[in-house]
Amino acid sequence: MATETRRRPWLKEPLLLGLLAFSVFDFPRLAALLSPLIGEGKPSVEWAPLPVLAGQHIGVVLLSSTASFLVAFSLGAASHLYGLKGLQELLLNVGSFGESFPTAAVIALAVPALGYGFEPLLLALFLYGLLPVLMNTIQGLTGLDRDVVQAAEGMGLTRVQRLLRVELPLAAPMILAGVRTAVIINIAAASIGSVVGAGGLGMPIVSGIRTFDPVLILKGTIPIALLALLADSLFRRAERRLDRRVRSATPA
Amino acid sequence: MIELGGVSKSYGAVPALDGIDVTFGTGQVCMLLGPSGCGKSTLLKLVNRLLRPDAGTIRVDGRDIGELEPETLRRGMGYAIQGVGLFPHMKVAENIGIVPGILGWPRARIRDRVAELLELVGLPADYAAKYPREMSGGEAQRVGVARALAADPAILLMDEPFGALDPVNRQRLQQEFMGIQRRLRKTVVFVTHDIGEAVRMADKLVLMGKGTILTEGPPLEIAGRAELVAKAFLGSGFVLELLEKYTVLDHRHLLVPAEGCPPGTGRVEARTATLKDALSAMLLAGRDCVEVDLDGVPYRLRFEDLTRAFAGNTL
Ligand SMILES: Nc1ncnc2c1ncn2[C@@H]1O[C@H](COP(=O)(O)OP(=O)(O)OP(=O)(O)O)[C@@H](O)[C@H]1O
Ligand SMILES: [Mg+2]
Repeated sequence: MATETRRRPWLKEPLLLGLLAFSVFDFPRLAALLSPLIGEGKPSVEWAPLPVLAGQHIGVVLLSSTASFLVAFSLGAASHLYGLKGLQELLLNVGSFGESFPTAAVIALAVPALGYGFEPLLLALFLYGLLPVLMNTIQGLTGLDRDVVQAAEGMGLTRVQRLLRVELPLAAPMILAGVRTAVIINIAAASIGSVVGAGGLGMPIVSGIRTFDPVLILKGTIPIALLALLADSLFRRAERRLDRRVRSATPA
Repeated sequence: MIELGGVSKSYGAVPALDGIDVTFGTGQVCMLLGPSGCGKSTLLKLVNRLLRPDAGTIRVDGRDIGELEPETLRRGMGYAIQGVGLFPHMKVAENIGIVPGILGWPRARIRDRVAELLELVGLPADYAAKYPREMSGGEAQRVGVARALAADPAILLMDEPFGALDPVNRQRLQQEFMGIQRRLRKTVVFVTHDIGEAVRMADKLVLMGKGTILTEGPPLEIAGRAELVAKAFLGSGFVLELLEKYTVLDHRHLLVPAEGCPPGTGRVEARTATLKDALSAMLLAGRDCVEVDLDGVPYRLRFEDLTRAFAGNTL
């Protein structure tokens, strides 16, 4: 029997959002509040205000994750549609091989080709977001209840009808979980952008490391952590909602 | 008509069906009966092309199904899968209405059809808005049957469609099904483990052993082949179920004139009483015959004549 999951009240997400806004728009006050724990910061030069850096950070993550999703989802769904088991294995192998490359290395390799700035970061994040989405799309579509898929086939749904009306809706929570992983990875990995001049919340972290200033490091780290928590929480909420709709019939 | 000729199928190295020759006649209910794993589900899946045979041909109304578009073939066949297979993300109404929807029926007609089918399978109308997870196994199974019937296909492939039902609902659904069948005369291939169900519903009974067909024919005819019957694990219940399948009227050639009925003999109505009722009346009265009323004319059914119904296949 499906456990009766009550709808969770909207508590955590507004709280995280509030904290995020506080940490981004009024970091000095947050730092003052936390000063017993983290000590006083050193005076430092600001290249850009924190809200701008946060905006850059969020922007690049949104862009790269969307691109990863579109490409990886299409590849996963198409390879499933055409029953290309070999291609799926190849994709997953190439994907996990690529994932084992450090982000910094990818960026360093991309700079000569794409130049300094936003583009190499976007490329690196895009590549890193591919695997989780691809993996979950393929596994979500191949791991469906055989009876259900066979019922759809036996009723005379075409291959495309089966994909659109049965398989994708049922695999949706799993696919969404892949997107969540991609987004979370990208939120953290986007910090590296500061070293190639792409801005983002990595800027204060890198300066903080150079100047041994823990407050400056936290100025980047706290918003990144809150952003990751918020994204995670929102995605999980959406997954739960989909999952509730999709959960299998009671066993006969 | 569905004809299988020399059909074999194996899964890898494991043979599941071996040289099957069988015909399922138009408008007939063919009941497939056999032990678990003998290949009943495999046979159904070959008919709707979920599986392709390794050897042999399958024809539907004379056409080799290998030459038809699988979707076209399947939309002409209702399929109730073993184990229900409802779409968990769709409400009952959407589950039942999916094939009519694909076939382009107008919404209002689909809605009416859903309501009609829910009533037919004995579920309340408000179940249309439920999700499969909100139903019991037996209820879900009934929705599965409704879904197979939805687009009114000429052929029905039913894989243990009543397996999860309690005896009362099971009998009710059998009767509903036979009621529809008398009106619509579909070509039905129906898999079951229940001997009573097989006998009650069958125009033709197909007894399967491991990958082969042991025997086939009308239930009464099969009763005459005692040796095969024993081999197919039908048991003594099989013959007693047969008594319930036929009315005295079906066997009116067994009747003799009423003269000579001893006093105290029981009495039954030929049109409504089954052979079981007649036998019960004999047992209750302690006589070896029963008086039979056939449209107001009195006849007599003797026990010795009743025994001929089975031994001699006189139907
Ligand atoms: N997908 C499969 N892969 C391998 N073997 C299979 C597969 N499906 C069925 N079999 C085997 O083929 C044989 C026939 O299976 P089938 O499902 O047709 O039996 P059945 O008569 O429907 O049994 P039941 O009454 O238990 O439903 C069995 O031995 C089974 O183990
Ligand atoms: Mg079976």
